[in-house]
Amino acid sequence: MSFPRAARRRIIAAALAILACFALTALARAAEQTRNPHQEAIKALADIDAAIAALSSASSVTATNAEPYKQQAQRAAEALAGPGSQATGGEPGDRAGAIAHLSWLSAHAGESVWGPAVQGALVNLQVAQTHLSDSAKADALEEFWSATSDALQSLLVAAGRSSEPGVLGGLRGALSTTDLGVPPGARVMSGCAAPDQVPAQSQLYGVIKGYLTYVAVPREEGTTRLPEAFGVRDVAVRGNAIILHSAAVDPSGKLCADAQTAVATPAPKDPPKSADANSGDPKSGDPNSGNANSADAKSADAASADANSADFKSGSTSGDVPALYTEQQAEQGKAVFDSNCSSCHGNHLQGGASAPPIGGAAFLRKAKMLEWKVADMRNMVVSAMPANNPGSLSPEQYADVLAYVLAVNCYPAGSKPFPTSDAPALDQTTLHQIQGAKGEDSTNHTCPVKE
Amino acid sequence: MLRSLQMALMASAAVVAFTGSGLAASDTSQPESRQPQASSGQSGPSSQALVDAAKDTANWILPAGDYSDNRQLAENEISKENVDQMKVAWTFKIPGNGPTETSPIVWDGMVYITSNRDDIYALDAKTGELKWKYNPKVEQLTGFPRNRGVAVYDGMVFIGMLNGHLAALDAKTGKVIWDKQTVEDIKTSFYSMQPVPYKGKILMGVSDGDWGGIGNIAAFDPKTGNRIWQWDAVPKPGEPGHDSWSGDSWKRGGGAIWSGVAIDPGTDTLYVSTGNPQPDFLGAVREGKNLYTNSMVALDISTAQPKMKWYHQFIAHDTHDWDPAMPPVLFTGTVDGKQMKLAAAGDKAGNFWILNAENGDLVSQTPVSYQFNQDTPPKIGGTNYACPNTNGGVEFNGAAYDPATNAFYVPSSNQCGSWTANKQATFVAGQFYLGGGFPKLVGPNSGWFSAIDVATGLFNWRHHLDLPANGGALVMNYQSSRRPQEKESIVFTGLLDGHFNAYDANSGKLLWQHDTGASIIAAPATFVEGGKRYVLVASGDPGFLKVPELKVSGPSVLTAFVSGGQKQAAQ
Repeated sequence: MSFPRAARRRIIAAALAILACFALTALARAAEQTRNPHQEAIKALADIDAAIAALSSASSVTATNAEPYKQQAQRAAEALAGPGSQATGGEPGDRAGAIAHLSWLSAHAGESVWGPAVQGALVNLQVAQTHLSDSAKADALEEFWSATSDALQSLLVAAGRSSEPGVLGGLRGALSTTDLGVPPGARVMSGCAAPDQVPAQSQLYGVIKGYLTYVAVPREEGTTRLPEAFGVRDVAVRGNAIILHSAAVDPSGKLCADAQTAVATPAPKDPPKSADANSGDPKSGDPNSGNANSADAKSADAASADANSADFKSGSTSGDVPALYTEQQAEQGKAVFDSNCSSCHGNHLQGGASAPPIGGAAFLRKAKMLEWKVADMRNMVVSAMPANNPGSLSPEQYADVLAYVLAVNCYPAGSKPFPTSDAPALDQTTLHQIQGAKGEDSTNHTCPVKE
Repeated sequence: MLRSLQMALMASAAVVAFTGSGLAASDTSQPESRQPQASSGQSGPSSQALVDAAKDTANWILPAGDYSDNRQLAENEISKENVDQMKVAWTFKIPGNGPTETSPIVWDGMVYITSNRDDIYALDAKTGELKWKYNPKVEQLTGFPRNRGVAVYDGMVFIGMLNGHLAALDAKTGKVIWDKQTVEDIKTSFYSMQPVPYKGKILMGVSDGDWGGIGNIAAFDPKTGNRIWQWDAVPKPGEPGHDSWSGDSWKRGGGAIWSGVAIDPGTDTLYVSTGNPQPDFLGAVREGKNLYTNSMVALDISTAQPKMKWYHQFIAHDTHDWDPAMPPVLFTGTVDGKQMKLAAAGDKAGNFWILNAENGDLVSQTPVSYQFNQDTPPKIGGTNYACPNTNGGVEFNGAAYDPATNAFYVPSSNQCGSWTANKQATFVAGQFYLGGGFPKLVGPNSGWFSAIDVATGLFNWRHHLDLPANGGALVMNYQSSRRPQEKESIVFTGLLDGHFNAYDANSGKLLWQHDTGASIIAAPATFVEGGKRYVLVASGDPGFLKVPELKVSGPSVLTAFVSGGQKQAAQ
């Protein structure tokens, strides 16, 4: 007995289909087992970038009919939701779509520090989807652009910026500043202790409490490929290691300091130095290494400043300028300044490309012409500084850093601390050059401050 | 012949000066009160030469060529066919390498440009050879270091400086004739605008609108620097419009006059655009429309004090620093089949505006950049997003109109930003008075170069650019005497990536480009020397348009291109 040829073909097809089903399920299970947050995030980002690229390329379309515009909106929508059955060629991103990747991530976020960023990105993608469906329905170019602009905006926020840790950084921020950025199988170190040795052709990831603070690569010939979305805030070189700090280096400083307190490592009179992730290395048993770390963040001239500091106190008696701060505040303020201000204003308050000098003769001459009081300087600093994150320092840190600026400008220290709020004495003291302060650098008219 | 006639006129003017020392400074005759320089045989350009600048296609004596402020001219040398034969005639490296916004002035064989720190370089127009320089080394108390160029008038070069001074120099030698502080409050004000000479006065707007001042435009005596009149952008108590400010907020209301002006010499009407209100990002402390900020204003300047004819406020109660940075352009265009006197403006919110020049009525508004969340003010103590960024939309060089195509050619920038407002705004002399922070860029940052049909306000064509566009457009109508019926135009613009491009105005097709090696955020100029047409453009540091996507960073340089084609015979 034999099946007719057609029936036989049907049975074979069915059997193949069943086999295929098993195979697919098995593949899917394997894929599920190997699904990894980092890769999901990278894929989601690729999809979002593909959607943005599709919308951007719509702006170079100059057709008079709506179809080419709507095609780009459709491609963007497919990059988010995965291509539908009506998908045309050249699908952007991958088949799953950004929303599927982020939904998976969101479901597997647990207590991860990147959870809020991923959740935020997901919401923004859903908003973008709504706008994209509007732009697909638009029947006037204006309407299309309006909806597309809205969609693009949400997409940009979802994609985010590597320089911004936290929920506002979006996916790029999470990849750059949290352990979401650590590829599977990568070697992970303490985010507080950057290494000075990295094995050839490898990368070390510094993670502290879920934050990715650096990626260390060896100093060697050739090209090192970094995880796709990693954004470097600054680069340090130590031993054979190149340390690429992420934007998380600031919050991690606090985290490391907390860790330091927790293990009761002696922290002689200086409070935790916030910015440099290495400065409070809780694991370092080597005192030399500790010194090297703290010297890292500071200028090479700090040592020479130290040498002169003994003279500084006696200079404080000059003239009838009131003493507005304590010496200890100025010392603490130097650390605040080095962490938050020196990248723009320079290590010696000499100014830079993006910020004016705030120490020395030229600054004081200008301040005098503008009739600045110390209160004006305080207002300015407290309300507008640091320029990239105004108001982000604590009242004590603002007081310390203002004490430091006064000290560098040769204003005398005393027993009363610089206030943490506005005070009449600040409004009565003008900014001008102080004559006869000892220890003064006679060329630039600045005074040294101890570490 | 022409020169000797001017000499004769100068001589008669000198007689007037001796006999009529009490003449009003607004008198349109040009008394020559200073001693002429021994070497100077040239006194112009005169007020009449400036009024007639549109007819003089060999010189470039006003920021955009003539008083219409439309960077456009008719010529018969550079055509679609031969524009690709343009080549570099000479370059001049501008010392200092700061943001390069200078708009060249060309007069009598000399090119005058500035650095961002008020240095003036006078160059031989044919060779680029440095003839003289002026390095004032000014001390700036407020603002940022920028300069957009000089004015020439009556044998003198005028510059407004970062220290709030106006100065007049001998155009031939660079010798300073006078130098005077002319801003009222040095703690809030500086100059960056290119001065504009008009009928015996120097018109100058003050840059003080983000530092706690009130904007104004004033007319100064070119011989002394004395103020003749002043128009304030924010009305005082009792004046019309004053009630558009809550409380005392008007006192630091802003409305700086940053950009150029357009003038209708027939009616003595000055068209000027005002800057944003302040504190820039904290609207809560200045409830109301905040007149006359973010407006185009038409002023009758035929009388002793300017009188407002009309104003058109583009964005009332702005909280994003979205002022109409583009200088007004005055033109006659076709709308609804009718010829109309029109005035165009562009703002940093990404709008391109066309107004009726007679009464300020809106004719069309075209979005020329991504726009998002524009009605939400920056969040106090938080962050929100809006597009464009503060440096997006249409910037300070702006667009040019082509009568042949009845279209405007508009460079614009797509940038978005995250914005934050503070709980309060504190004035500190010399500092920004913002009530918040300048927005952080939210990428990507890109640009468009668009052709907008004046009849409809819609795009004829548009180029998507990888970077923001702030180069300013220059339109040349090629006038063929062999084929007088055929009209063709070329539009030039400089890009942030350093390329200087020429497009077919009709189709948008790229006809020619040259890489100048550094970002172009300055406006082009053109002149004729030795029978050849030249085109000038400065490039260098892009200033506030230093977006993360930008790869080029060459030195500041002025490039002079010369036509390579054969000049067409006169008949």
